[in-house]
Amino acid sequence: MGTSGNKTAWNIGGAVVGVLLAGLAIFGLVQSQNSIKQPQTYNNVISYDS
Amino acid sequence: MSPHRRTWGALAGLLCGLLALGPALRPGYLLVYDMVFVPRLELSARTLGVDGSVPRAVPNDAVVALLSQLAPGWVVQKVLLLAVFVGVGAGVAGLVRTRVGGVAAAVAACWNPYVAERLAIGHWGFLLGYACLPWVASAAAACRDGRPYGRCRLATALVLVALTGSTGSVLALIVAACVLLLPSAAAAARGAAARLTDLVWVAVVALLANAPWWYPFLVVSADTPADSGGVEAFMSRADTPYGVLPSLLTGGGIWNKGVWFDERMSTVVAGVALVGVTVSVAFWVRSTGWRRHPATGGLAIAGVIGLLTAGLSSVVGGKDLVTWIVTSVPGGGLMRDSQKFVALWVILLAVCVGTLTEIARAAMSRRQAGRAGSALLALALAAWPVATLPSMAWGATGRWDAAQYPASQLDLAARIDRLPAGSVAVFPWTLYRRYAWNDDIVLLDPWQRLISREVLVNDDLPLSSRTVRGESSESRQIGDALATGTDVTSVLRRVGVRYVLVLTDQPPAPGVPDVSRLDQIVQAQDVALYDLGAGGVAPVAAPGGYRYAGLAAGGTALVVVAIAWVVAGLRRPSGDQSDRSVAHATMY
Repeated sequence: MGTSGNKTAWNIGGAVVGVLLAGLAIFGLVQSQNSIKQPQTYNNVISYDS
Repeated sequence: MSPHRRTWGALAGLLCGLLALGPALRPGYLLVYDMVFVPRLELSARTLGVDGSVPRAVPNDAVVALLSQLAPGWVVQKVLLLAVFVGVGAGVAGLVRTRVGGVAAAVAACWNPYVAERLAIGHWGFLLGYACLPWVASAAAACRDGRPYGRCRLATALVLVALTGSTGSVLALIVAACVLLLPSAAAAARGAAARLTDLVWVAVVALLANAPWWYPFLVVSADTPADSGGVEAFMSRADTPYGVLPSLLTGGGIWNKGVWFDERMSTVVAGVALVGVTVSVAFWVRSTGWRRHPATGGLAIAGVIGLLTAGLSSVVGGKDLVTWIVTSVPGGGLMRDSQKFVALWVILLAVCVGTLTEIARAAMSRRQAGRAGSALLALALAAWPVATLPSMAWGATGRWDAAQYPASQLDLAARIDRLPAGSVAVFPWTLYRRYAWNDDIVLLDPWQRLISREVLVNDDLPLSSRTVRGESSESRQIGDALATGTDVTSVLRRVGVRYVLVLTDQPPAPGVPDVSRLDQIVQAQDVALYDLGAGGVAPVAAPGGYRYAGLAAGGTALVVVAIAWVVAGLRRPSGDQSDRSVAHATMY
């Protein structure tokens, strides 16, 4: 494979890695949004860890 | 060259800061948990650490008070928060060899669970200290190797980190000690006497510069024992499905589940983060990364110490040891929230990520990937910290936003400042609030900072599982009176309180005193102010002169460091050789 072929292969490799990471980030965002807590219900005491 | 790398690192850090803070950068205040900024924080006995209370925000609140003389509080807050990102980005970029590596290291240092969770809980002082760590490492290496101005640079870094508070200073001292004690060829050539002098120099500067917080902590507050239950309450926790150690390895593991980032509970996302950490560290070890920069060997030791310390209370027997340290060793309370020590590991990890990116790029270049292509692929590989913590973006997907204090409450604060002398007690008798105008986010009571006089609040830490006892005896007396139903107003008068501020928009627990027979001064929306009258109120004694000794020592540190720079400048040899050595010194 020549130099241009090598470059193309690396570019494709970079694109694949980028797409995989972007997919992971979107998956993470979906996970994050799915676990959003229900609106706060009234608590008589405000806890530091709530 | 290093300045170039640092510039790129700073730019990458700035970009991360803008993306992470997002809506929180609008005019207004980011008010979350312990992060309380007000329009104008005044210098007071409390901010200076001379009021006899435990100095939790000393001297960083004093720094904010000084900066508030120059700009509104919300501007000061944004500048300090962005400084975290720019500072740590530029700092870690100086610990790798190339621009691409510097950018990758900066992204890893800025975008990680440690920064995200500490921002979410409002520990901005910790984060400023964290941003100083790579600079301390570089300066310590310069000092150890005898480079020009090395001792001055290290002393300056230690003074700067001392301004961020106790946590940053302790972490910085660990870094400085590890780097200074690690043998190197340049250090060996200087001889044992010079190295001993370095250590003594660091000890003296650190002791003086940190006196504003350790002196009141050890001397003034020595009679307030820490609650041993705090160790279990604040020990590191698993915020991933893989347990405590993997959570810490990836930079997370803070005790407060309210500030966790939910995607980290995903097996896939946390698993990729763990793989990213493992691969980055493995490549750094394989490439003998400790030889790639004079500071990284010591930084590696500090990182491992930080990781072990953070996890200590979570292993068998470790909790008992930490409990003993917290309750028996002066200043041991710093070990209570042990996850903060993982900052040392996160800085090392950022350097590993930067090194991995450099190695990957070099390997790709050798295989004819093309300069731009290899840089892009390397940066794509280095983006795993962002991909595994996507919800840190845009103010934690909108959770961090700027809010404005209601004008009525600011007016009331100004009015209280004009009232005759007397302390203020804020009720309901608890430390944290939720305000509708701040999206009901848990927030440390802001009245201690809104009012420029002594304000008493309950310093017990209410957790969902238990309450961690505070250290203030006055606060305890008021709390006991409320709990037992005895006459609260007489207790208030005895501890010097004249004014009672009742927040009517807050849940009433754990209690509000009977104010029906008190003189109401103000009834505003969501708040009422009562006057107990001057009669019978114990006068609040002005701080004795001895309480200012810590501040005086801190001022002495500034003078000592300034003199050291002048002396080093006068001793600097002239000629080309010197210029080259100075250039070499700034390179790291």
